[in-house]
Amino acid sequence: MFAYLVRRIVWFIPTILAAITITYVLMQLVPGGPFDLDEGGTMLPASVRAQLASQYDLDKPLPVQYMAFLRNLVGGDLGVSFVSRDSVNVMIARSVPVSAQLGFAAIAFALLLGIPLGVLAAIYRNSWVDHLCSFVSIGGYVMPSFVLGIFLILILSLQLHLLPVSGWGGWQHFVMPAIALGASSASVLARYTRSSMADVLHRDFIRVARAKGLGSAAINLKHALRNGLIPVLTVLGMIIPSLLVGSFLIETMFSVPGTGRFFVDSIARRDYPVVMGIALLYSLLVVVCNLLTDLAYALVDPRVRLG
Amino acid sequence: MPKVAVGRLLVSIAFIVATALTFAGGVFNIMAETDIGGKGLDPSLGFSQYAPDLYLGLGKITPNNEYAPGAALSFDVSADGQTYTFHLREDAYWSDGTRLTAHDFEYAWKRALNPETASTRAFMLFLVEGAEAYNSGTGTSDDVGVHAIDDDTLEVKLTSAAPFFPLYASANNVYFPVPRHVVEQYGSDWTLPENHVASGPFRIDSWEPNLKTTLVPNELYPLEQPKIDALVIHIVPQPAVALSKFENGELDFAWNLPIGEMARLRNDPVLSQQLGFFSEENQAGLEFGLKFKPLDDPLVRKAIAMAVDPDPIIQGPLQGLVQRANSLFVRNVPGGRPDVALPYDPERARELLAEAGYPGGRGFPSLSIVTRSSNPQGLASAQSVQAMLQANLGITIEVEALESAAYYDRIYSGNAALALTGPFSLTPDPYDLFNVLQGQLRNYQLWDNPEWDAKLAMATGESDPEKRLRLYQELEDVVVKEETVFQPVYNGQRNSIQKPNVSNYLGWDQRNLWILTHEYVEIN
Repeated sequence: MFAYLVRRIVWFIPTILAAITITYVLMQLVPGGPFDLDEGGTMLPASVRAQLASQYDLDKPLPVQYMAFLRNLVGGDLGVSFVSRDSVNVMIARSVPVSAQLGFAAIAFALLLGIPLGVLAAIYRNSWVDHLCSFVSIGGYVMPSFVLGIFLILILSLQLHLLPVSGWGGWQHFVMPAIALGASSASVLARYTRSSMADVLHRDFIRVARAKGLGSAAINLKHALRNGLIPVLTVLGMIIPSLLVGSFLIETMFSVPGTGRFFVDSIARRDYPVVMGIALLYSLLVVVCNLLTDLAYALVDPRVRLG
Repeated sequence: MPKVAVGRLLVSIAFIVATALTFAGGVFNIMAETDIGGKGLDPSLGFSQYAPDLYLGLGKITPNNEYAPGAALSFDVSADGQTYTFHLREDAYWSDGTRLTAHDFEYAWKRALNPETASTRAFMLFLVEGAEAYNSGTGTSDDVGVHAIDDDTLEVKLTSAAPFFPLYASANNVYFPVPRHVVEQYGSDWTLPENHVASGPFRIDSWEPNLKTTLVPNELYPLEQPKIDALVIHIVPQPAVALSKFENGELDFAWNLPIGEMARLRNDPVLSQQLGFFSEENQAGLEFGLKFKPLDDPLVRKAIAMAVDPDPIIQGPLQGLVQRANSLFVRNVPGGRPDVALPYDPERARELLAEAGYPGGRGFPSLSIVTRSSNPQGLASAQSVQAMLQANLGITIEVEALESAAYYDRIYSGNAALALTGPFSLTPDPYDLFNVLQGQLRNYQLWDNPEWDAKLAMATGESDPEKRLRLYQELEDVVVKEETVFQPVYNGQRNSIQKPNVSNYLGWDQRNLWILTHEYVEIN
């Protein structure tokens, strides 16, 4: 187990290096540069842009810039944003907790809604309960998060005046973005839980359990759900990093000061250090979540052996 | 209920009412699309929208776009017009009680010019002797022509006479003072709320990154105190959400309203009364990339200019939210004339095109107009130009919708045959406008005209205001009427919406959002 962990963690390095190198190259291939427009929307004179580029070493050959980036990275320094002039380390440290809080709220919402819906649908298969659950989950899946966000704002803020439209700081600010962000994940979880539970409920060991005279609650929750959750874990392993790193649409819509907004803004502004910092963070999150998913398999399913 | 309790209740209600009446102040909630806090509040690094609220410049731009004394009570000009001596007021302080002196100005300008600062607005200081050399690394800071003779006297040597200098130095934030004692103590963290000191009407109360910045009145500001208790700038990146926040009472002022909502707002009996607009001091016009043949032929450029009617663009995609431009001069720059832009005349345009060798558009090569894909109105405007050129001249141009940075890259590198873009000016003076224009014409359109450049230099230094204006108008005639390297189409403005209890803000005169202070705003 320990050797397995060490091996997996060592493999993080080439994986992440490949991800950030590809990001670096792609970013440089896109036309346009960071000093094309300044904060006031002013076009800067050509000589000024050249001087700024040299100040940030952007006039050096690409491999030289890349090596400098890697050197700083090893020292834990992600550089300085061209736009806000803040240290990228500080920007990430500030925005990640915000995105993560929102992400956890969305994950909690997705789990609390998605898994019970899936379980109910599987147990009462082909009844009206199943159809209702399917309707809700397919609805949540096909509705884009920003459309749901707009509906929430219209109903909860502008009609009922229950919640502020946007912002961050209190619990009131959590509700709408967490629902909008988590809805499609809840639907995915519900669909997976339903099909995998339904599959498990047909297995021989369930029939044996029933024959032994176990109550249906014990069968459904202890035996069927635990086995039925294995495929769901895979899905969860993919959903979690994307929810944690922050959603551009949702963070923009609800003015949430998280990482997702930075990421897209920084690409549009060609703010290279910020793009690289967030790409690094995201790839790290993905490999860690993959590892955790594999570990979770071993916990849930005794047949899975790591090593 | 016992009588005493009722009495107390009445007294406290009366007290609350009285308090509300005496302190009309209130909190003014406005919005910005991207974070304006943190290092964005350093006036030396780049454009800083709230710098006029936080720093007292040499002069102040009045609500009527005129110069008024600020940190400097008066100034003298040398006979050759190249040396300015500013006499500073003695009662100006930073918000920690330290005096604001001439040394703070000298320090700020040299800091902005230091190449290591990488200021995006350092070029605006190039009017000062030795500034360009220091910024480009060929000179030293000692040779920069700004010198604090004592605490109250600032001497500035310019590269040439510039009668607009006091106005220019009051409108552009890179000329604002910074508190040397604080900058040297805290380095790049000096603009954080816990370290920052201000000299303008407001000081920073708090900054929540990417969420909001709160400014409160600076008690040590030597001029009249602001009328409001606090100014909260909420960061709201989505225009539609900003409008919702306004309707939900979370904002007192919102701008850049979604164009798709305009019909609803205009038909709403209450909201329609709160709609307004403010001028943007920029202009969109037809720009011709002269390296694309046959756009090097003035006849062709004139033909295209006269074949495009601004009205369908303004009334169609832009929903009447901009103003037709008849002159290069944007609205707040004095000197615009009503008849400079070439008239819409498709008949004459066809004749000109035939004269250039393309009768009925035959043999005209395929060119493209670039536009930004993120700007649907710009895209629709470009398509409108495309349709008019096809109908009026029989020539086919392509519309190329590019992502923002790619679009600017094409324009900067002179690789755009046609574009709808143009100059801007923050200063209510032709200097800024024509210098930006010169840069655009030379670098982006590859138009080189030494005679024009020489006349521009003359206009810059001319001290007789009427003669100076005439020189600028002659320069404008060459650009638009004679050479037609630029044809004005419309002046930018932004739609906005404001609560009825707000007064003395945008819309009450010709104020410009980008150089505006909030000290006069009242909430009733």
